[in-house]
Amino acid sequence: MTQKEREVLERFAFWREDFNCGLDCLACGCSGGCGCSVGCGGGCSKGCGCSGRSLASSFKRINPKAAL
Amino acid sequence: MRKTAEHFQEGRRIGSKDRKSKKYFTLQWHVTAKCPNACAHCYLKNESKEYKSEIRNELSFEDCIKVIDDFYSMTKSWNVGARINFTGGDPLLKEGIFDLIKYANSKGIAIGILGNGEYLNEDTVFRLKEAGVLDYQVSLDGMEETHDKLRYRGSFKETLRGIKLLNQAGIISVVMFTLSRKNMDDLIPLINLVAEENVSIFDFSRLVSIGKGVQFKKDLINPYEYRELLIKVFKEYQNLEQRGCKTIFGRKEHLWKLLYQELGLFRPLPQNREIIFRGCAIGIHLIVVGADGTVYPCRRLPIKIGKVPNQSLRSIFINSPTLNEMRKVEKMEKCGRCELLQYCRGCLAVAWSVSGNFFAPDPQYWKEV
Repeated sequence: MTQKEREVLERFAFWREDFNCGLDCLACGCSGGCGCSVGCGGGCSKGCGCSGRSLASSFKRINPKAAL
Repeated sequence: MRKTAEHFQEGRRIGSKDRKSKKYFTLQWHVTAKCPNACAHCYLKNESKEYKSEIRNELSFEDCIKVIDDFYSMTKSWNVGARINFTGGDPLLKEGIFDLIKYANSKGIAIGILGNGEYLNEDTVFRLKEAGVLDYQVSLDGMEETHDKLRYRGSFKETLRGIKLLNQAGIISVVMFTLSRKNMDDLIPLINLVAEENVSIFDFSRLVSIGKGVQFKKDLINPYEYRELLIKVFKEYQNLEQRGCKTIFGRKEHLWKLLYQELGLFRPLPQNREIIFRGCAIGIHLIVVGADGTVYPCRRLPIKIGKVPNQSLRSIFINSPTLNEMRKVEKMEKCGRCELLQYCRGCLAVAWSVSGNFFAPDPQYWKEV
């Protein structure tokens, strides 16, 4: 990644090397390309702020800071 | 028929080549604009020169290979997984589609299809599976009467037939529902139907009033009605999940996060608004290519940002002034002041379709900020 690319993308958690939201969207078959903003949450419990299925069904209160 | 969980295992196995990266950049690729349907809300079909260009100037097979190579090269050098969602039109009408899928799959690119049920038969689903397709999305826009009214008579049954074939073949079946006032009363019954039909994944998104769908603009669902509907859907999902339903109910709709926050299921970061975690994928990990090679931020936001294969996807994604403007999310009129800015941001396409401004408030956003 060039310096310019890094500057454009670094504020997005998706591109941060120290961040992995753990969604692994494809494992659930989520067709994220159509603008999916959440992913199905198939198992993610890292607390990045995703309001996916696992969080919804378990009613967990989460601290997104833990993901970092 | 195999259970959904087994479908997922299969998906993990097939798509495992790049799985270590855990992060996927998605190319939504409308490889053809040809489609036998004439859906009342189609965002693609209209009388515009852009649509005519997509019909007349479809990329050649050789150019399509260049696009795949370009996309692969970009994601490889950025060390993220690559996913292509082949769509259309009906992507099965693209000449050489199976070879394109196989070629992309051979490079470790995860493959999904967003299509119709009409052309699915035992032979086709076998070939799709063999080519490496992980999942196949079809649309159901209501129960039979409503769906057929929005599409064509017989479409509902054809789609259910296609879902059965996908399930039998072990391809993850995905059903998408495009929500408008015309079909909102059908959403709950449809959720129960897809559960009965063993659909692997169900989700819905709001109609964007562009293309033929512009006729729906005059009768939008208001924000409070929408909130009530989300609550009903949430309860229905919970009921089904508690009864052991295997269907995964996705939450791609952006405004779920508003409701989740209200319900105490989700808390935003209290500080450091600089990092954008989730929300609309525009300009972050999504790019869209039309049948003639025109590049868009999102297919439901028809603002041209480049053209392939003459330009590289990497250059367009980084240098497009439009994309760079869209990345300045603090400028969003309501979302910019919302504490969920880092997670939600509503749907820019829905906002644009109503006001012509992608930073205008999402018309179904109910929160006061």
